[in-house]
Amino acid sequence: MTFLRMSNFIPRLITLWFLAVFSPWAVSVEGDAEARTLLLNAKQAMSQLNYRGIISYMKDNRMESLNILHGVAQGVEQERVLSLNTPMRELVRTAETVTCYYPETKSMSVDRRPARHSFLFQLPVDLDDLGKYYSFSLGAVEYIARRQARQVIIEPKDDMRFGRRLWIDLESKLPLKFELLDENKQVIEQMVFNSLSIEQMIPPGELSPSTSVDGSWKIKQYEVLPTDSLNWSLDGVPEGFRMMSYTRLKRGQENRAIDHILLSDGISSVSIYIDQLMNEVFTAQPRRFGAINSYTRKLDGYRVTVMGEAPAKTVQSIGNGIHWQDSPQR
Amino acid sequence: MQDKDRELRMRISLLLDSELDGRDNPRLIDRLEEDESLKEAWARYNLVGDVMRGPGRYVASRDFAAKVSAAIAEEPTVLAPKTASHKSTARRRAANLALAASLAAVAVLVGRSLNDHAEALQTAATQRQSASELALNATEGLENQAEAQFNDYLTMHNETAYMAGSAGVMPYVRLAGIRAGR
Repeated sequence: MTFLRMSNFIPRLITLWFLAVFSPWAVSVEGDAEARTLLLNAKQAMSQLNYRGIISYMKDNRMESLNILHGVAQGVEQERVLSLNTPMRELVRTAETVTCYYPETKSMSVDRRPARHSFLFQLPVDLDDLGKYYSFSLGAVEYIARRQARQVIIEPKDDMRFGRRLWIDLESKLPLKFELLDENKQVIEQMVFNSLSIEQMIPPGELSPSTSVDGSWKIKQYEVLPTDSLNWSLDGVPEGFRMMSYTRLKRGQENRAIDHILLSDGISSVSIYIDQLMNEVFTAQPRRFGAINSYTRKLDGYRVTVMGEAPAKTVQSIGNGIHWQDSPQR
Repeated sequence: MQDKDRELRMRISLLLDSELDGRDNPRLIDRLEEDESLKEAWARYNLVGDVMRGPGRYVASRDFAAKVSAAIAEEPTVLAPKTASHKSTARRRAANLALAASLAAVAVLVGRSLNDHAEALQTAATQRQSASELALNATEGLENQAEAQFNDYLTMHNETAYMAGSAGVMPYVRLAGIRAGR
């Protein structure tokens, strides 16, 4: 490199340095890193602290109140969420099992896979992968449940997913408020702590289920299938969504098999259900239930239903891209 | 009624009773979706099933059809709009009336075999209401079935998303808050 060229290069380097340090882009990168750190802190706080609180959960202009208790003893977590209004459902997590009680249908589901995820807040371990499809930034500090909380914004980079906003307690790092935003940035689902108490310990009795179950209760049945046994091809799945599980549900008196495929991009999940078309007049229509969009279509002798907390175009794209692998595309 | 139509209706009846060969179902369901008269037949056969399953509730007197027809004649004429996008009350009412009219015959048909041990329903007004209710019950029955399935799917979605560990925020809170019948 000649001296002349070098003399041009140094000022350019200084300019670039100034741009990198003081431009909005640099600020957003810094905000991105802080936001990610706060999210990971929140994930850790949810699993390590003993706390109890009352949560308001809002969707479709309706509000539900829930009681949440979380305890850790010798590194083992227990968690219990209880619906305070009808239908009085209860969810209990121990080291080995997750049990859901549905009193209105006298049914329960028991999952014996170890679950180390909070009932409220789940994030993948690696946020870099998530960062391909979402950007992270910091918002203002506000008071939630009389605590100072920093807003973290998770914004999708395309129109195939929903955005999120979280408010994370500056002191405890627990997430105190959550909003799910649709494609028009309207809040479609919201959860907020009305009260929160962080305690030394939660008595074990309070973490045990209160629902009494008798012999008339049914346990929901399903079978986990190896993912490579899937005979359906999924051509309309947006980038970033991966298959998380493949199960076969058994329903009805005749134990009818319904295939269930779960897809996720890390924080947004979409389910595909493939059921036999029974004696029914088929009415295909997109539906919306709170944050959940669903789309149903007919495929040969099957009814395919796709649903998840994603925009309508995402569930429709996934639904329309499903084909039986051995047959030509229809 | 032509033989072809008769055979088609026979197959619908078999479909309803789960006696039709599974390979024929998709084609027949396609026809059902496209043909309004077949849809009506499907609704009527569903009602027959309901009536037969619930003898105590659905038995009618022999002059029931005539009374229902007279009651319907007193109703103002309702013109259903042609555009499918308008699900107005008027249209729904018109549809109910059409079902009620056809239901009268169904009730008498079934009533004949069950009527001997049953008390006649009291008044034409009550009967008209019962007929409409029956028609609605059939529709609502199907809707409830679809709703129950939707709820089941929704519940499984949230449960499985949680267990997979990648559900973001609130998978189980959403679950605790889902109301029955939604």
